[in-house]
Amino acid sequence: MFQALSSDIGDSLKRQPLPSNEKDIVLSLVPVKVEHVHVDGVTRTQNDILKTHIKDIFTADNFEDMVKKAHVARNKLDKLGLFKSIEIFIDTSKGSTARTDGYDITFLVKEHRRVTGGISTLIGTNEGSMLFNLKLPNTFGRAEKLNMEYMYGTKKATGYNLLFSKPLQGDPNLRLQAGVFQHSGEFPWSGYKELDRGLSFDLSYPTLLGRHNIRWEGVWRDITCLTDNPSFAVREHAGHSVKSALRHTWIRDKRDSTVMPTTGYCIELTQEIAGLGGDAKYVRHETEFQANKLLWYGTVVQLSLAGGIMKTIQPGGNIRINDRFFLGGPLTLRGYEMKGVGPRDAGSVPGRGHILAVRSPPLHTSTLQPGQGRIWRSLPHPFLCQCWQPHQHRFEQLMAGQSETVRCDIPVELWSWHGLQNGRHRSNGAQLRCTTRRAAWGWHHQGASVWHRSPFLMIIRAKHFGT
Amino acid sequence: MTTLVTDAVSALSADQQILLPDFASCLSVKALLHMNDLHYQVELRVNAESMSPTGKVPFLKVNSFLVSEFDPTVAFIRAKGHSLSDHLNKLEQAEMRAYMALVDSVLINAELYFTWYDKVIWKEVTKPRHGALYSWPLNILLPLKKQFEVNRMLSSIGWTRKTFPEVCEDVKTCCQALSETLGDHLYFFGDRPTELDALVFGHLYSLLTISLPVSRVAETVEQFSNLLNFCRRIDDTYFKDKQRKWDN
Repeated sequence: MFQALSSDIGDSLKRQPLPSNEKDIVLSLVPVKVEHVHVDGVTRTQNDILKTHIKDIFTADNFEDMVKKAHVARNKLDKLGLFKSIEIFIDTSKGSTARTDGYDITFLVKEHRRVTGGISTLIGTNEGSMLFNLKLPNTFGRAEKLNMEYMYGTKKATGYNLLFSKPLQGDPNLRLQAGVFQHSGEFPWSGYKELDRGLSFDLSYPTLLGRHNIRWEGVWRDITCLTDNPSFAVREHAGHSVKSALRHTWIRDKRDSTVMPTTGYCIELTQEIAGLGGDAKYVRHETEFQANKLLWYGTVVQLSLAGGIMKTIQPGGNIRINDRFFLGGPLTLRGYEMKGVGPRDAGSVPGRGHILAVRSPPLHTSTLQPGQGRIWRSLPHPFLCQCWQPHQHRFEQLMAGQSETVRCDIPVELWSWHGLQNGRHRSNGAQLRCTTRRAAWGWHHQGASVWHRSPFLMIIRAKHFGT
Repeated sequence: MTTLVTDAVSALSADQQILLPDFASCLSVKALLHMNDLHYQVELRVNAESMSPTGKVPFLKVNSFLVSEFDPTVAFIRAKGHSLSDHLNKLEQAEMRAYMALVDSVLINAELYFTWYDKVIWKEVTKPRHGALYSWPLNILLPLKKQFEVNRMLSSIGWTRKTFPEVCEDVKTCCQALSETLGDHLYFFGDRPTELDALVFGHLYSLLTISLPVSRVAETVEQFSNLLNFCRRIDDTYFKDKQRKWDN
């Protein structure tokens, strides 16, 4: 009997050094006829979806091929999320009619519970919230998922989300999703809050060049003023509107990790057309690019670029504040106020219809080592991490449409990883931030700070920089 | 620079779109500004109700100040040194306040009742008009939402228990009181207009002129000839003449 448990069984078979007194068997030359495949432990999963992925095993004609195909089938079933655990047993066929080269394969599976759920907490922009989650995995036995979420925030931002997803033709990579949602959010930098209720459908599929996603969204948005006296430019956008938009996203992600990449690049292109019914009518394009290069001593240099442009397709139309672009904050331009870059009207940021940003790298989990006064001592060796921000006034000119051409300084951050320490991946970094005043040549040093980062700890910025 | 923001999509369709209570309060505020000889500019916005600090139209934008509804507007322009009732003595001023409260509690609620609670007017006028500015499905949802809110307010003051003739009777009683006070005078307090005149004009003129599938409302007001003349007079003096003067 042969038990295949390890996920890379094919590789391990090849690599295993064989004892010299045993005969060398080339597995790819051992003839095999798969006679039966059993799937044990199925209660609600439908036969057709299992057959789709298992039938390929019957075409195997040698032992190695059989093991590999069984493994491929296992991976697909695993990716579909049909089962909690899958084990494969391969045995010779038994019984009077069994062939000498006949094999039986048994998938020993354990299905998910009908209902699972959980309560979790989230810390987001300016607020914390509780998330209640209820899941119905493999709802109708064909790898469908029904997910219900209810969120209750500390600042009354409550929302719910009902999402149903189904793989098309049993393909785990081709998923159709439909959802109903309501969420509300506050946007203190612009002085408004928004309540969205809507429906969405999306289909995502992989291609050779990257992953595509097509999404239609119909949303009823209600904007109300957050304070008694926000800017009139923001107040003008208060009220109800309907957006019916079709969006296409293409992502080509060649990074080794989405959180702390050391090498590779990622391109994301988004096109959105709103105005298939509803009152928001615009076309919008967005681009994001990120490249990482490993230099020396585990030091990574990362370059991020992002830009977007949008245009109303209604003559004399106006793009609403909640559709516009905003810039600033840890996720876009670090060191600036959250969504605070650009022209202001009475303290509020009304947003813009076009944006061009050289982005600073996203802020990873970083913290100042608590309880340690001398930070430098904890650092294994010297390194430098720098972040240059683009001239703010140039952005203002660009956003206000006063400047046709724009020169941007590229923000570069260097950070360093120091391997595994106590089983945790630790990395350290220092940041030197330079800002410029109106005088174009006056780069002057405003603050320097050091932080220690560990992906497993909470985020606390070492020092808050003002612009 | 004063801007009066009211609820409508464009100047042309304003008359076809605006609802009775909104039209009446806009007209009252306009009359008030005209009587104070204050120049204003009207802007029409689809989302005027949402823009307004109190959720009601019209609202005034004076530089960065926003003032909404009739009474706060009166207070605001008084603070700026314009008042129509300074020449009245204390007793008359108290009397004026009492009549303004009467108009608020009877005429405004009656307008809301006609517009949002009466089934015929709701179906034929209110629903299509209120939804006209929005695209589907908001043109159905928003009138229902507003109807729910207004009806809840009316029910809290007991007006939903009243029948249509009873509300007309209330309007008639109110008009009776106003008519008796007005008597043969040009305005309620002598020959100079006060805030009360602006308020009463706005509401009565609207009730008289707005086209509703139920003609009974206008008929109730038309019984009082001195009120009818009063409306005509203010319209001539403060709207037609002023407009002619501004146009020139």
